[in-house]
Amino acid sequence: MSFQQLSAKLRQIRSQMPRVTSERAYAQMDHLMGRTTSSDPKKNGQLSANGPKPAA
Amino acid sequence: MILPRDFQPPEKDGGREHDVRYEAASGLWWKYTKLNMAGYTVSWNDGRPWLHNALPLDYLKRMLRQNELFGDNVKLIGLWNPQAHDWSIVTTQPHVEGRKATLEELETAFIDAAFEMLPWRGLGYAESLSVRKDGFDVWDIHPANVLVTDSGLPLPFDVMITPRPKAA
Repeated sequence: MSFQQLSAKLRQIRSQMPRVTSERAYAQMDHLMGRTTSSDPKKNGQLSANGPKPAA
Repeated sequence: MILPRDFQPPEKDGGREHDVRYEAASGLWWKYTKLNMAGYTVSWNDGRPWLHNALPLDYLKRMLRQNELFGDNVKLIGLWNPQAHDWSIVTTQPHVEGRKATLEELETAFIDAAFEMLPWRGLGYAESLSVRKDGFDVWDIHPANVLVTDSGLPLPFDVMITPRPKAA
């Protein structure tokens, strides 16, 4: 699959996304980032402390 | 292009690169780069990639590539100077819905979409994946930055995209 094909498919998928409430959008953001609330810095995503490493 | 000082501010911490505000009426995320930052990017040194702060032009190129390569519709709204010498780049990006994928599912989705896996992990989120395709490298592939569609396609919304280095 070329980038052109992938981009066209993703553009179509994005165009069909439902509108959601703010509550739902923020909840998804928190869920994806692995935090319970969006203001909890301890659960926030952290940059890798030791830099890149080859995959096992 | 220069936004007024009383421009509506972000509402939430959106992670390492942005603060954000979601607008339900339009379905758009308003994304504000952290003050005096322009996100991160990846460069190469002695054949190895390294993560560092991006310049504003790097950031804008990344948004253009996000639109071109991944069918997104990120739009530059302007530059915001909320106080003193603090600046932020403000963009909008349509919300995407989807199931949170695992790293393994993301790897499968990118391989199935004909991406080559790169051996480096953790440029961005810890353990995040990196891939290469058609002259571009994509970094920081992580459940927080990429969804998987019902048809199994990767749906990136917050990855770093850089040109493949000439020597690689």
